[in-house]
Amino acid sequence: MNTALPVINLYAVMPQIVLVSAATVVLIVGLFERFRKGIPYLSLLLLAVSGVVAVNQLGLGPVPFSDVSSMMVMDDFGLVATLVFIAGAVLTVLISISYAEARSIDRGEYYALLIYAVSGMSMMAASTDLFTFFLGLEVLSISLYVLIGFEQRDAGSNEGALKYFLLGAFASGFILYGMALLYGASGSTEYEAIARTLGGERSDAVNLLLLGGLGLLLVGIGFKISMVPFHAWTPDVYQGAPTPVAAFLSTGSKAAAFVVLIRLLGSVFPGLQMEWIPLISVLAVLTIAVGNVVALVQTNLKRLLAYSSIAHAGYMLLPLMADSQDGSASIVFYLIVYTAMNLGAFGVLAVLSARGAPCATLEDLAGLGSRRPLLAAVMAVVMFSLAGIPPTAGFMAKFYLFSALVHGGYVELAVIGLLFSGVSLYYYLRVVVWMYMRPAAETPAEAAGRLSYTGMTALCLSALAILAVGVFPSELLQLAERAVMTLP
Amino acid sequence: MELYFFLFFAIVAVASSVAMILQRNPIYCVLLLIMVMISIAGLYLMLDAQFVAIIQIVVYAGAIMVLFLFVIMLLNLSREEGGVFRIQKPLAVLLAALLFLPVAAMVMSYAGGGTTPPADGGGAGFGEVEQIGTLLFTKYLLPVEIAAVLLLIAIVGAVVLTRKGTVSVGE
Repeated sequence: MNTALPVINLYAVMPQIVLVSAATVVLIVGLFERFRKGIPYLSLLLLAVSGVVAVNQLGLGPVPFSDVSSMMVMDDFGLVATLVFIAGAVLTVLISISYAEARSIDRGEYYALLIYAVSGMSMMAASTDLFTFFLGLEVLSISLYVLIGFEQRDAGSNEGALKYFLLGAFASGFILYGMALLYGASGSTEYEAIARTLGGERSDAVNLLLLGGLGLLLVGIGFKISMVPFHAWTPDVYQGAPTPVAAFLSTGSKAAAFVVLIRLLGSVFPGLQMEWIPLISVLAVLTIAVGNVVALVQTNLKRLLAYSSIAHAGYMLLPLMADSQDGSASIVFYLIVYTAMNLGAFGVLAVLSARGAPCATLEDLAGLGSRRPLLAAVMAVVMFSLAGIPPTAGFMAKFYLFSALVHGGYVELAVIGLLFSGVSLYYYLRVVVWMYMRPAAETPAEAAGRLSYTGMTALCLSALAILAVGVFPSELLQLAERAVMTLP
Repeated sequence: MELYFFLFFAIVAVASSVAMILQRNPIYCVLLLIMVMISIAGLYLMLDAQFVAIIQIVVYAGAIMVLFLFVIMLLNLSREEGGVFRIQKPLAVLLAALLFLPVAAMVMSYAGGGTTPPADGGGAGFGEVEQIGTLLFTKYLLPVEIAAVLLLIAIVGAVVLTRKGTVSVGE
């Protein structure tokens, strides 16, 4: 039998191809011991190249992959998301360099897996089919399982990796089950076909299948974004993982899952709004409440940041209810700002932990303001931004998010969100108080000597970006709005 | 004739899965699970899905079960420890019963209706290797490529996590 091969358009997957090849090059070069010191810089270069490729494709309009089935479409939404992931990976590599060297985990595989993870996220963001979404998710997850457990001799790292692996495998199972039900209902795995089934006449049986499928998908994606009640893994995994990996995990993988959520809920499941809006609003409020309240009593910094990231996931769920371009744009804007903030916060810990004992608790930060003024200043900016105090980007992000919510008619939810973000002031400012107002311990945990230049560069970059976006937010907001314009 | 075959496979499948749950020796459990897999493969064969049937035997009855056996023998599990799950047992029964109700309702609701058949399914040659190959090279070209990347990552990950004696520079 002769089969006509489909006409494929490589431009539709160009960023992903470049990222996968970049990771493979890093993997191969990493095999040679003599290039060991150069690998992070090679990774940075290749990430920059992929970024340039993605920027070049902005505005070209959606390009489907082949004439038979689209599978992946490179629209502006996917491209902007890919750029955010790449930026996150660049910052992660920068803060990894000194940390990985000190822990002797600076192997080629570390950086290669990081870039593979970015390619997986990019696949998730661009996919228009459940197949490619799931494969992208697995590319991301498997890379992360390994990265979390990369410090083989550290018990915490192993524990975190095993926990994330077991629970992540369960979450993948839920997602697959949901996909099977959706396939049963619509006879196709394409987003468009599922949306069409939803739009047309549906029998009770089909309705039930669609609802079950959506519910199971939400469980799986909820796990990835650590939505309550699927959040229990977050603090343990962040605490155990190598600090730069925790930074990457709390920003990149969460952002990727959110991007998929925006695409799915916005363009595939609007027909089931009556069902998912109450569900998501209850879970979002629970997520915000649990994250903020439990964070109040944390003294371990990584656990504190873990609960804070749970709370932020809750904020980002809220505008999904508004179901408007503004709402989606405000989530994208928040994601970008959140990536800079969280990488900054974890980055400070990574840079401090690179030498000597790991910087883990609030006590370790005592007197940091006089010992390391620049680092303390960065941390303070990041904390103010996470709390949402002007003139930082965190304030603008919360402002757009809540105003989209109010425009959508969900004033109560906005009020609840604002109240809890008031609560969060306590634990964010507590970090600042410890840094500036408590005397240092006799023997500070971290060793004296200079901090890594690359790490400091990354931290200063993110702090400057936070301040710049806080003062001039319009450029970034336009980018976010342009991204969501392409969504159907 | 078809009915008898169906009954045979179905009864073997159900009986072995029930026996598997009641069995306390883990090795017997695994062997019974293989029986379940093989009889389900028979059911696939009757649905004209030869490829799925073969894959079922190769992957499940072959590879995955061997993995199960290895783990059980490595851990030297001889007998299921009783008494550890004292509270969990009645709780599990309750939850299973609760879960059964909506699933049963869902199945019952099919009695009259039905769902959309797959857009590209059915017809002559359904389930044969040729059709699957064609689909893999046309419609599902991209997922196949991504799966290749996924396998590469899994291999790299396995090597990284199991490698002993890391080269240390910083220490």
